[in-house]
Amino acid sequence: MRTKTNLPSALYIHIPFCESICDYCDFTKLQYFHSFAVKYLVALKKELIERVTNKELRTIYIGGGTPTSLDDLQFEALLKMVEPYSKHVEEYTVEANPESLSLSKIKLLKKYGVNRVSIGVESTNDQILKSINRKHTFSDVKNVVKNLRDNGINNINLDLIIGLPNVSFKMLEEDIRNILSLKPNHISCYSLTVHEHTVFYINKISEPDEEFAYQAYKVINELLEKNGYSHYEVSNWAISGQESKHNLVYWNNERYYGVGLGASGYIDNIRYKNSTNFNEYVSFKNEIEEEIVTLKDEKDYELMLKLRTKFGLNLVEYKNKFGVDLYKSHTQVIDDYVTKGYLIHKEDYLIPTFEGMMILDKIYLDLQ
Amino acid sequence: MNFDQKYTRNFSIIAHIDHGKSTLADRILELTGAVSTREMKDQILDSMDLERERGITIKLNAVTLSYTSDDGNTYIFNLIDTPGHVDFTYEVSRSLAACEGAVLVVDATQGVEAQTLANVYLAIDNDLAILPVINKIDLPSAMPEWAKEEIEKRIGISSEEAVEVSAKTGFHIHELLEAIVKEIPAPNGDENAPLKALIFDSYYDSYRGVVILIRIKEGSVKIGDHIKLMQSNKDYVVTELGIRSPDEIKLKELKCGQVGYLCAQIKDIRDVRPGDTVTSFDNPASKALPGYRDINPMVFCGLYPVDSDDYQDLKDALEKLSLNDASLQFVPETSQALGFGFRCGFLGLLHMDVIQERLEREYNIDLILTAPSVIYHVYLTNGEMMPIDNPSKLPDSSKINRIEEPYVKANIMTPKEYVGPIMELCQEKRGIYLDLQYFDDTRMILVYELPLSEIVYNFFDKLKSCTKGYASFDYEPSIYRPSDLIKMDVLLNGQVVDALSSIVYRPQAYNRGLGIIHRIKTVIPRQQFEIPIQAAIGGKIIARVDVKAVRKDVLAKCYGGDISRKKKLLEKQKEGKKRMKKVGSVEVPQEAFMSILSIDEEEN
Repeated sequence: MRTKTNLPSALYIHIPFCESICDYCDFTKLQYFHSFAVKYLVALKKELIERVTNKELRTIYIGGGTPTSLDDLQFEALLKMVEPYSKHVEEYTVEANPESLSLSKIKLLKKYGVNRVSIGVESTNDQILKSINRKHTFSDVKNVVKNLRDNGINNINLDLIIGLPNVSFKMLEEDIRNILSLKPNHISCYSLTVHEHTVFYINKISEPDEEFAYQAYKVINELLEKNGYSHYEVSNWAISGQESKHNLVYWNNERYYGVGLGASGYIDNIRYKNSTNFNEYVSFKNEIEEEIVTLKDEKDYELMLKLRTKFGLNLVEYKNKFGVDLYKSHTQVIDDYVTKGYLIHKEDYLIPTFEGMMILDKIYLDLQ
Repeated sequence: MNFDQKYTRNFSIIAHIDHGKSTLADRILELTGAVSTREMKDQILDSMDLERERGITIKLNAVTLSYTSDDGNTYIFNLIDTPGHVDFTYEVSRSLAACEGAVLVVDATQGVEAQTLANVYLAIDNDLAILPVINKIDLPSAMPEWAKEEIEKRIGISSEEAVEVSAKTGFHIHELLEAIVKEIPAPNGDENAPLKALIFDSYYDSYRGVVILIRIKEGSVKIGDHIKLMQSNKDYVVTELGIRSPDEIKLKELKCGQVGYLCAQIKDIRDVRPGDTVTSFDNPASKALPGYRDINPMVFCGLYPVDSDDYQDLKDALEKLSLNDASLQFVPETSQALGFGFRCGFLGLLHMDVIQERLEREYNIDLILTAPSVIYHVYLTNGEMMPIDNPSKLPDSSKINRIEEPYVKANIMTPKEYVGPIMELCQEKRGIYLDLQYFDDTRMILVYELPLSEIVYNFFDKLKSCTKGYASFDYEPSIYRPSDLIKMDVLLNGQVVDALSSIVYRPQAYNRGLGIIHRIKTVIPRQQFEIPIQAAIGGKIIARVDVKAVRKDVLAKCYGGDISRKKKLLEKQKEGKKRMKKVGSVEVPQEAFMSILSIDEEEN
């Protein structure tokens, strides 16, 4: 039997509503209706109270969907229900769409101690935005960023999608320059993935090809590094010290609560996923999918996740935890990756380079 | 059970694949009370999982049933099941020799097929009475009268007595059983003559030694009898006798006309040859039964464990399988690329497939198979003939005078509108035209001699696709003929991989080479470096493609919910990786070795 782990100190809350559904999105989401949201918040509160036994949380992240699609009353109700858990919180993030983050909501964020906002910019080209059914323009983004700062919320992340249809390399560079002009603390760039049951899938829009995605990441990385951002995870860059504490919980293979429709969590040795059926969830019938994480699974997760960041995998820790000397069992493979510039083997750490981050799946399989 | 030859009927069922043989056998078993409906698994006689899953019969199987007829007498039925696939024709002839009659099953919607025809002729050659049965008459598309006409016209036997049944619903099975009593003759061997029993199958049992399935043709045998196997000239004392119904029932004696099993503490299955005659040691028969022709494997391939630590396990498994499968041959071989393994001989591709699956499933060994090859007769300049079953062993061309390859005689039955495309295909496959005849007003039979290597290669698939699946075909070995053949090597990352070598027809070498390397390209996982794949003849590169280096292979988004999903995906890839063999610095999956086989030149 494995020793009991500490209670999670990270909490994710899922708000599944959106004013409109984006063409590429496959997250658990539905069209916002006032009455749906009322019911949802009741069920959410019940789960929150039952599930989250640790009130000394370090990080909270409210994502979606679009948390800011709630009306002001509901939005405040949400923040209020989280309030008891946010007393000691170091990082408290809310995801927002530029068009729905009104001044009144910004003031609510400030009031309840939210200190980080993540904005789905996706593209800075208004025509592209329109073509993927986004309802905002780049000038909305500029306004929101200004409003946030004016109200004392200074930790801002901007999200960008790479490889949207009809976006040229030149437009991508333009996107990066526009983003940089806003001086965010943190930038995420995700290569487009096309999932089933999305408009993109139905319209047979293809994902960017491998070479395009690689070149895009390379260009982005060069531009961002030059401007003082550090590539600390496959798709994430930040000013040093401003990395997302909450997201690092995932990549450090640590425990976290997940609350809400379709939310995932990791408590003790169980990784779980809540029901994605809205009607079931709001009638308190949350059918949870559970994965029991054995020590071997945990070891695999550790390898898979820790090599995603520039902080790397601590080989000594790994050995102490799982009894496996990874370097000893895979000397040739590791040395080969080091020689070819994919990994750095420094002191007790195995750290991926940019090139390494780009082919992590392969590295992971080779380290089995 | 009182035994009297008069009340015995020994018969087989002959049918084309999918015409309902096993289902019919099940119905017969059910109606004769051999098994209660409760115990009934679908398709009892196909006892291997693999047989049931694929709906094929691989091994023959015998079962004794009792049936009380409308005439008030109780009859003993011995039903000897036969495989339907061309690879196992040999087994069919073994079963037939143990019977007096055969039930010929014809699908009321499909009519007579080439394979059925081949087996019916085998039965007629064995002087068996043929009882035609029209199956699947419950289907709306059934045309029983047409099917009967087919039997008369195609096979040339009367279909007047044909019974119309539905094995699926059980309709008219009783009538069929009555027809078996009436139409199939009772055995009529001399009960008082010296023992003469035909060995039609055997298998190894770790407790009792070899269990022999026999049909007593003359005389009788008792427990304690001193017996002799006439061909192998070995003698034993009988320790156990019985019948299978299908559970074993032990008996003290097996009498003339009976089908049953015999044990005599026989340790080595190689001493028990199907077709051999069991006789009395003290009072032997003067002449053995005719027996069977020897079977020779036609298709060979290299079998290697993915993990070289599994070599011994593979050896043990092959030994165990060959105990019950005399047609499986294997000898150790080594490959530079794959290490230690075995060169194995099979009756055909299905047989090869079945053995591979059994090794992986029942013995849990991950395998690499090289592409199958035939045996080439290589005549050297010094006059010697060297049989070559492994392309990489082909001597240097300067030492070769000529190469001969085995041909088969293929009978292809097809609706007449496909004759053109088939002839084109046979031409492309280097076929020698022999004959073309009308089978009926809509179908024709084409007879060609074809190189076996082309059959092994992709003839089946091509035939299916150019006739929309309407053609059926069977073949028998014919003779060796000289051919313009050369060895083609494949280089991965600059290194020759011996396991990827093949012997090809020179005028087709370039297209074949291009096809092979393109196919390999699609299955080789990309590495951090570019991998050239080249086809070469006599050291000269004739074609090249490159596997591009991997640039980006990572999930961009990996947050809460993505984590488990991602791991599951990676687990799947891990499984695939387990089945890869590292050749030099390149990981090569199983499919690469088979790519020599399944390529389609036109794809390129």
